[in-house]
Amino acid sequence: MISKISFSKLVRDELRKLNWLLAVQMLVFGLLIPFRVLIELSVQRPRFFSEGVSLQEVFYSSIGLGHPENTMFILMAGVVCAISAFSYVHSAEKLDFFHSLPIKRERLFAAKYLGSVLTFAAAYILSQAAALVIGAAYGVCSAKIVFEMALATVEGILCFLCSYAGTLVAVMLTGKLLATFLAVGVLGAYFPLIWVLKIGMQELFYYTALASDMSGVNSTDILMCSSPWAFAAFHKRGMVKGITGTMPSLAGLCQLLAVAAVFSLLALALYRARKTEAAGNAIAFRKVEGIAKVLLMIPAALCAGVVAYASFYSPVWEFFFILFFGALGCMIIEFIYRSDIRQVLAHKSHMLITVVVASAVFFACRYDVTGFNTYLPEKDEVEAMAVYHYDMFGVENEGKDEHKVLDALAIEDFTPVYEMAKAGIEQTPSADWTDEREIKVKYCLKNGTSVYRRYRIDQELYYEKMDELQKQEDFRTLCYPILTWEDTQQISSLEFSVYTGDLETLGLSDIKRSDQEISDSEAEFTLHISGKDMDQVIEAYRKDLETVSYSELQSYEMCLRFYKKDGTSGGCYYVSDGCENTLKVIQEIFHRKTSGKTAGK
Amino acid sequence: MIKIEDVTKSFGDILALDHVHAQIHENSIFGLVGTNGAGKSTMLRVAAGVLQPEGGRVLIDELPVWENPQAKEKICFLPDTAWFFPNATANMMRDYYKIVYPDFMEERFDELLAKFDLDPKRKLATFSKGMKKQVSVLLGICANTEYLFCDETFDGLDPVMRQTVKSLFAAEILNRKFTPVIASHSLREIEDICDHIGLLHKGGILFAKDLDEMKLGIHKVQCVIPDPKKEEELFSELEVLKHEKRGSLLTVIARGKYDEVLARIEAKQPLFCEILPLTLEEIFISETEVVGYDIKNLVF
Repeated sequence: MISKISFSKLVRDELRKLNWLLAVQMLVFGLLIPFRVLIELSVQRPRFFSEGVSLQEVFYSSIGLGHPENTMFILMAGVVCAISAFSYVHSAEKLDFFHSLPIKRERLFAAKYLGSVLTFAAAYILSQAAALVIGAAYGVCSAKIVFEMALATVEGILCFLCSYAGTLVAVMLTGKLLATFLAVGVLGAYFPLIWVLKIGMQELFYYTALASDMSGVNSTDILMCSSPWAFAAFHKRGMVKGITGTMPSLAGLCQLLAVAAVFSLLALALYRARKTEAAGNAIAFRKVEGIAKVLLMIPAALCAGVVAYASFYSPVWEFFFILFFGALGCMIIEFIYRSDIRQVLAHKSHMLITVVVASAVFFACRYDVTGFNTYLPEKDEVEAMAVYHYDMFGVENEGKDEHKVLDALAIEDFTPVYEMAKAGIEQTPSADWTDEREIKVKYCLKNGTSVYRRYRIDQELYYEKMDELQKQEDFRTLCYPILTWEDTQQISSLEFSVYTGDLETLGLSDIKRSDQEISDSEAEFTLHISGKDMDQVIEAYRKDLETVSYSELQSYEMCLRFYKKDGTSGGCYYVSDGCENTLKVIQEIFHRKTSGKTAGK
Repeated sequence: MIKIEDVTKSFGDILALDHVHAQIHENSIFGLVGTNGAGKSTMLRVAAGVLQPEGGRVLIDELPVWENPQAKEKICFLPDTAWFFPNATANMMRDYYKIVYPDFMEERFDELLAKFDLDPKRKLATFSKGMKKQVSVLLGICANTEYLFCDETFDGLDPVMRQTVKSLFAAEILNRKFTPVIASHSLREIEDICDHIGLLHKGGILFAKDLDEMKLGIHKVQCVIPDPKKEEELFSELEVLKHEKRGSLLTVIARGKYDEVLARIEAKQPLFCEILPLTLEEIFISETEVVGYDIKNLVF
């Protein structure tokens, strides 16, 4: 049956009731957008005549895309509009009125939703339009800027809808205004805080995990997906740069719309499901109260345990902190629920669950019940292994994920790596790093799986085992890509640098710092080599790598740094006095250059 | 007709309505009475579709009321605390009612506002409690719905206004299909207006009956019987619910047919005999005793 009640009349009436909200938003966005533009252009106009400052650039930098402060106010507007339009669900008297009317809840929801969204849309669109008019008055408006402003307006409205819908979910879940604000905070911050707690606990207790295993994926991606507000604030932008900022991609805008739609539908479903008598209760759904309390308090108790671990390193204190703060948190939440101090000890089962679960998780991690840190597969289960240490400068690791670096270094004759891993497991972690090295290891198992770990091992053992590995051609080939460069044409030049060392012993004592070939840097001197000289150095270094040990290479602070034609690094290779061929070639090049210069003078 | 079928509603551990059955017929005034906390407001809110019952259902002219605009457009609910939009005036409320109740009688509302001497342009927040109640009742009447649910509507109205509102209800019943359902904790407030009465107690409806029907079976007689023996005989012959003697004047409330009661008294050769109208309170005492409840201390 078609209702006799006009939907448009309901929306118009809603708009009339929210005219104060429209006025406030007009003021805020008016100051934020057109007023700012006006001020900026007015201030810069004299400089346009005297210093030739481009008014267009001033205009472009004040409006359009990419203004975080605008986004912040838009998100705040979403929260305020949602609460203003739907705060009636927190009042029994208002609900008696609205829910007795011959209007379906969906229709009432839609009318109030649309009414309050329109207050924002009107204020925001008018502010954007006013900014354009001001720009036109200064003669700096163009079709492109109009397009970007339109795009920024669409993006702003979608961001608003995300915030608005997220807040609506919080409004529908709660029965009091204070609880709504808390719920907005919880919905916005819960998952990022859980993420931080997870990383912190992994860092503390699963110290053999690779750093990238802890974060897993890009933290911005995680943050973005943690709440509708975060999604609106950090949504992905496209690659196209506009004149006012980076343009949002169509996919990004669709995602914003999807998030807003999902949360709006969720809010509607909650509105339909919530009982009228829930008004006045902190949580609108009684069954959710306990779950919400426990889900909030378990991470809080875990945080308390982590603080105790960091402060006292005593299991007794850790348990006490979990117990105390877990129970205290449950009591605070119970007080928020009931607003009655006498009932803070109600639902002791929730406290018990919180403390038991938090303790179980905490101590399971603390004592590595799953054996994560002591994982060592049987040797015959392993097909290959890889090891990486940041000393291995030759390995091209810039900007690469640790996993990918290790993937490229797997060798089948892995006994030295296995022994280093075994020693790493047996080594007790300590705060003193002086005589230790951190290595990253990959186990390539015969069943096709790969396991990544990092270990801290004794420095002596590290060099001993790396020396053994250095003798293997496979390892050298992977560790020193210089050995496999088929075409050195991709390398444009190299720098030979001596950071510390006896220059006389190296036969380089007559270096003059004023020489153009030598540049001051952190190094005592640096020699630039290119062309055929460079080919000779590369050839000599390749020969030396067959004989010189890993530990010997690490002991001298000389290095060959290669540069590709595109200006990027081609790797850095240590040079020791055992690299006789290399040093001989360098000396020859050096003497030839210095003598040539002397003769020239 | 409103049918309340096996309605159960609880708030947490509190059972507010316990398998309530009742029928409210058209073109009559139904009084819902009971003590504070008896479930009157809950009952009205369930019937108005504000609250969803856990069990049972409410039918308005055979249409279930819950989330059914077709049924709800036949109802206007006036809660005990009148709520108006912030900064609203009577005219603004009238305009909103016009949207949600398309048959709203705008002219009649303006006319009644003038009669009640209520300023249509004055903010309702500045009105007294009684004046707000008046506006609320006028909005409810002018909503032009078949059923008007009034929760403690007469509470806060002065006696003159109370009578005026009662007259308005009576006039509406004469002029159109109109059935007010009035919940009150006070029998005295509604006894002179209701045709039917439902008594709620502890979430259950004790009974719902026609007031005249109840009055036919119970009578209050004042008489003077000079012979004490005959007076004693009268007590044994009549089903006396209550008797009181002040000097020689005997007041008896007895169950039975009018003629029978009168004949038995006259047979005792009274010096004076008169049958008096019963108050609702007196009827209730007798009726609730029949169903085994002693509510004298509860209701009155």
